[in-house]
Amino acid sequence: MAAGNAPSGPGTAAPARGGVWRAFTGNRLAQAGALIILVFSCLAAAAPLLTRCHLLQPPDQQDREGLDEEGQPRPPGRTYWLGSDNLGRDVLSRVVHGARVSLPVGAAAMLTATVIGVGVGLLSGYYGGKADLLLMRFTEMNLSVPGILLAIAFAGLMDGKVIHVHPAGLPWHFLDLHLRRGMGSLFLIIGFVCWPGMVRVIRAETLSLKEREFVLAARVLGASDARILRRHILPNLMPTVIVLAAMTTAGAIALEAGLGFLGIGVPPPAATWGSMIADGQPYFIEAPAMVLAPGLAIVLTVLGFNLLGQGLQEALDPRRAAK
Amino acid sequence: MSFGLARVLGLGGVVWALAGLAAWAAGTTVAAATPRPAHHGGTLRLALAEDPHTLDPTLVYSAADYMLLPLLYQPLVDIVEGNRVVDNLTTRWSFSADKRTLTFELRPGVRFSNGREAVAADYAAALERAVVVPSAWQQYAGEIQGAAEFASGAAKSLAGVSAPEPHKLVVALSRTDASFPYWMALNFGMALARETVPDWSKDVGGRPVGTGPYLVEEWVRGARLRLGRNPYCEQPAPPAFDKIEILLGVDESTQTMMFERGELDVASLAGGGVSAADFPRMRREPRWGEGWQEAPLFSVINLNFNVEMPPLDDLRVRRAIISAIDRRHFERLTGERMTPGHGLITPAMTGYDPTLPCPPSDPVRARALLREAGYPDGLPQPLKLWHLNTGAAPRWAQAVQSDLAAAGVRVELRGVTAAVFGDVTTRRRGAELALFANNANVPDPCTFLDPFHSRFIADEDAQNPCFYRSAAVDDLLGQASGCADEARRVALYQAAQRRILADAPTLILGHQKLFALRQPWLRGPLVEPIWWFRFDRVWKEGR
Amino acid sequence: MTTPTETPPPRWRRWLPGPLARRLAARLGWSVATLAGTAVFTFLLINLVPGDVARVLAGPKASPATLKEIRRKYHLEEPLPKRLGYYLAQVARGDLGRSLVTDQPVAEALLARLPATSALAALAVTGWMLMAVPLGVYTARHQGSWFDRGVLVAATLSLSLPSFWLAKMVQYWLAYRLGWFPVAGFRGLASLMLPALTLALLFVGFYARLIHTGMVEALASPYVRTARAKGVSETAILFRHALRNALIPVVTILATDTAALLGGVLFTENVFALPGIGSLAVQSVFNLDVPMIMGTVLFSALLVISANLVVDVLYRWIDPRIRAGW
Repeated sequence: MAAGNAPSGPGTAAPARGGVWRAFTGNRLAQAGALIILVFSCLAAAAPLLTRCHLLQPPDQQDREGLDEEGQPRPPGRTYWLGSDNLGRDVLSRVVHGARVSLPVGAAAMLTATVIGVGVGLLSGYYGGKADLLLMRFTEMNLSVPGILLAIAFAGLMDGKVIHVHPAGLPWHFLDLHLRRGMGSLFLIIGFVCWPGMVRVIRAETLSLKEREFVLAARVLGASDARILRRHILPNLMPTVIVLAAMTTAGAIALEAGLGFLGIGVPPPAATWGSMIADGQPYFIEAPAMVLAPGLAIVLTVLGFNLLGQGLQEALDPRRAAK
Repeated sequence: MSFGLARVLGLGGVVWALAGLAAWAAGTTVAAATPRPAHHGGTLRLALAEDPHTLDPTLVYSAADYMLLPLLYQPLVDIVEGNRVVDNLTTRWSFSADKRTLTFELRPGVRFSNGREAVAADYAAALERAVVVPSAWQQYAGEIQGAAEFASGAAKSLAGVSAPEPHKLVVALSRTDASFPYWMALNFGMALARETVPDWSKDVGGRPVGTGPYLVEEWVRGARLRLGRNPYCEQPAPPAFDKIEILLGVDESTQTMMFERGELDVASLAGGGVSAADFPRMRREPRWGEGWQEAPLFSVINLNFNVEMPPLDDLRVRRAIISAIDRRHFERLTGERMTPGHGLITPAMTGYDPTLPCPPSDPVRARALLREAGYPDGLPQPLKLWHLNTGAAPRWAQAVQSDLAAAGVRVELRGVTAAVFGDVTTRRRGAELALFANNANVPDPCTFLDPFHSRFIADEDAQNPCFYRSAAVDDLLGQASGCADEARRVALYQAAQRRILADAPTLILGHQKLFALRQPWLRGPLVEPIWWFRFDRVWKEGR
Repeated sequence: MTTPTETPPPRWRRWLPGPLARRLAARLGWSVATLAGTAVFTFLLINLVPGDVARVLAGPKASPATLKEIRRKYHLEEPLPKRLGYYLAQVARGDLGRSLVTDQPVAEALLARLPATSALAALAVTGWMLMAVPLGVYTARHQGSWFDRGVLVAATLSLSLPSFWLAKMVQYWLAYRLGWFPVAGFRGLASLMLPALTLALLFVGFYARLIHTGMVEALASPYVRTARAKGVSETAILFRHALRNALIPVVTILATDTAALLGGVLFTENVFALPGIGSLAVQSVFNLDVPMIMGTVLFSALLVISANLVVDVLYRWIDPRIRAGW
């Protein structure tokens, strides 16, 4: 839920990727963030293997032994390193498996949001005029509703509902959308909620890049709009886009956790951090690990992406570099 | 799941008294006649998870709203231990031998909160309104003679209800129904001052005028509901508290936290009393020792099978699923707050049958039954289990899911809102498995048995929970509902119960108990099975 | 959004009617159009939610006839375009419909809930500004120090905290364990302190860094260098010149951040059981209360759009030279 930071773009003519990498290697914050992300990604990827090798308990298994005589969760111990949850499942294992939901959903949502956001911002900034006006109005419309509220409304659509998109009377049923709640629809929802946050910055960047010498030169040489966009503007946008992407992923993961908390994310028995916190809230006094562990996971992951974005932004800021 | 049509006046006092004794033996406060309170005045502080949906007795449908009704209204008659119907606002009430006519003689001097005396015409108007206005109770009011004609507008007045004298009310039913008096002890027997309800179809709103000991002083939606004393209500033992303040929108575990910090007087008004998470801890804490009270509820927790949808149309598959569920695990999950049970007539109800055989809990047998039914490797397709996504239902559903997985039956959970749940489970071929926890306030065997009649099967809005059809059961239920002899009626219902359970259309996991935790200085009979909470019967002591 | 660095903030008397008024009218028109667009958008969205609304009203025990009656009463059987038409006509009249669950007028419910949310928001903003300003100023003054870096990390941390989790932590430790404040419910000012603290903790980081960035830029500006050369005291420079410049973008961002603030309020109100717009939104979504959902969304859109409009206009006042391109 970060507000739109406005990074002042680098605007260098040098190949963008090299600039970003250099920025990254020079900034400790960004590296710290990346490290956190790497650790979680590795854990998420390795989770099934670890489970198969019995290094990690299965996350979905409701174990009788996981509950004590009164049916309450067990405290941290030898079998359950972080204790068990209210159904006897291992908290640590569920936290690790939760990463398998949050990270892919966050990444996919980020990609969706980036594609749409960059597209809209680019077109809006480059062409200006009526297109700009309309697109910005549409963006503002989306921005005027709090993201979580919009996501709730969207998520409520899911679950077996069939939306008939085909024109009435024609049997084009393949156009119907079968909406079922799950990771597939979740990343779309979150992506659709997150894209407006990127547009303003992309648009501002595009506006400034549009006036740069190499773009004017290319236009004089007769390059088409598409070529200019693809060859000159887009590559120079990349640093900004990467920074925004990092921040957006952070927001996406937070949003996914929020939806899971409200019970409208990925449905049970899947282990997601948000739903774990929701389940664990009443048990906070008995088994604090049920809330603390997934909460910490969310904080760290979101922090990781935020640090990465902030660090890169800091490093890519020419004014800072000048100091 | 809904409730049946026929009701009986039960005389199973022995059974109920035993259950009551058991509850008392567990260390609860005895409910005798309310003695003079030690401390008059003050505010009772409560909280609810959401606003009452309505305070209108004709339109009320939610269990949570029920507990407020006795504060605002008084019913004509009351249900006491032994499921006996006794006078409340009446000096004398009677039921004809053929169980078709009720006569109520009202006590003079009962006043509404606007000062006017309550007369039989008000109660007649309430019944007429119940017949006409669409509500959850309209179909039960349809028992009154002439209801259909009056509701459709063909008749100008309701033939079955008359007030021959200002303080005499006569209700004639269109058929024998031994359980109708129970309804007169519930919201049917509660009246609003009829001049305050000019438009019957509209909810009376936030300032209802009733004869109860309290009236609504302020209702800020989503924030608080405050009740104050009704100055015109004269009772031999008036309630102790001057005001009742209810905070709205506070969820159960937060209510428990507030209670522990002394911000609330009763821990939680949900049926569990205290959230499942905090229950063992607070049971152990000595400072709450005296604060606990419990009451049996007319409740059934069950897993319904849609017997029209394969593979659940095969009795062996259903029996296999029943065998696969581990009852002990389920009991551990619900703890003390559930009475184990396997019948549709709950322990506190008239006609409770303790000799009913319990279906076995045996995963090996489950697999054998599946093999016999032609599924040696378990069911090929996963079954969908629908349940509410609030309260304890998700945990129960997950427990069922894991038990069945061990037996080779894969289950997909569908946790949904009440709206969606109600829609899907009443649709033909809507839900294969559905997890219900139903509460009733009519202590009669018909409550959970009548819906199994095949006439409640419909394509939409079906009231038959399992879409169960059996000619023998239809016959038994038909006989029972029209039976005027109480003992025979109970026996018929018990026979129907056995038949139904032999066909295994549902798995009954138990019956919920109401547990309440109050601050130790709050005394009096706080809980009871019909209205759940009686805030007008408690008082402060030692403060 | 850059801050002016050459001259002090221009006087407010630079307002010129005429072209500006016309611009204002156009801007207003666009705001209304955006609001209407949001209404259509959310209407279409919400009406595709599954489940039977009639059943929520009647409860699980209702008969088919009862449900049909209720469907008729609330136009639930009519086709979608017709229902949209009904709705837009209503909104134009100022009537946002009635709640399907409580039958209370939506506008009335929202207005009744507004004080709690506003009080909470005001308290929260005050709280975090009180924390953010000293932090921003100090870290700008001692830029590059370990304190500065620490605050940066802490700021990023505060942005990363999930609001529902933080709210529960705050509630558990400060209300339940220590008993310093009430656990939940809206019973006076004391019950707003913890929710306000939660919100403040969530946003303080961002604003502290924002002030920091603004201050750093201002301190490096030629104007400040001149002032230093003239011998103006460091404190005066810090607070009278640099801070004033740094706060301008803060105010504008604060206003445009209304949407994020409302988002944070959602979970916080829920956890602390405050009768505000956020908790109304959550309740109405779970009850499938269509008019209330749309009312809440529209209302929040109205707040955000008005805040944006006000900020845009004020910004033009403050510095007409900035061609932010609206």
